[in-house]
Amino acid sequence: MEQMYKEYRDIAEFRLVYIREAHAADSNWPMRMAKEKNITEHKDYEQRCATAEMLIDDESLTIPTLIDNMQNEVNDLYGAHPDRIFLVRGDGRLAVAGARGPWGFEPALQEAGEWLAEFRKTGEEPPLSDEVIAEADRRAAEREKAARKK
Amino acid sequence: MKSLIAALIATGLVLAANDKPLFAQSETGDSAKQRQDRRQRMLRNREGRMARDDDAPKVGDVAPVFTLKSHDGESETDLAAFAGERPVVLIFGSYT
Repeated sequence: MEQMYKEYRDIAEFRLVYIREAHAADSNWPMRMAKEKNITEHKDYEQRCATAEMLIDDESLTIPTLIDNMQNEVNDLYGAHPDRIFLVRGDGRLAVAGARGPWGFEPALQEAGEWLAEFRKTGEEPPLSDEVIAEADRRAAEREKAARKK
Repeated sequence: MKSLIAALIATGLVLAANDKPLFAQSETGDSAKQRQDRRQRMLRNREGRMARDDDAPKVGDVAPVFTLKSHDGESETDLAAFAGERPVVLIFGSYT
């Protein structure tokens, strides 16, 4: 992730979106490391920022990091928990939408890397097929219809 | 003969001692309830995962826009601001 950022930050934006902890020490499925480092469920935004800061320091991350709000709104928008990767094209459509982590993380990271390599090589974003766009528009229309019913 | 009897008694005692926890694990109501609770928890988690996968944006969808602050509170990112400019890689995650 950090390596990809350093390799492609000249042609793409990167943001690490720090969301609620997946295996906090006081969660149902705590990680041993969470107990050792006393990483607990975030009680407030300040604690969330402090834990993100600890992650950035411990992993020596330089990728720009954003913090989700305490309503977990962005996490919910992207169905991201526990971790997930997306690549947004210049036109705002998703070129890569990884499966949920942990198993979906590495394949999506690789897919994003391949997309960026192609983009660098050709200078143009790899296109989306008409079928993919039509299917996406159909989903959007369905979501809009469902939202109107609510 | 005495030593043979002693050996048989000792073997019986060892078997009895080993059997007890085995039966206790498999036949008590608590263990069955724990297994049932665990199974229900797993099913709930799986349903939750599937619901989140259904709701997650897919390839071709317009990425949901958002504005969030940086970890140090010094800047903000508005995803919409990158539209038509540069591709954006979003990596969601936490420490654990």
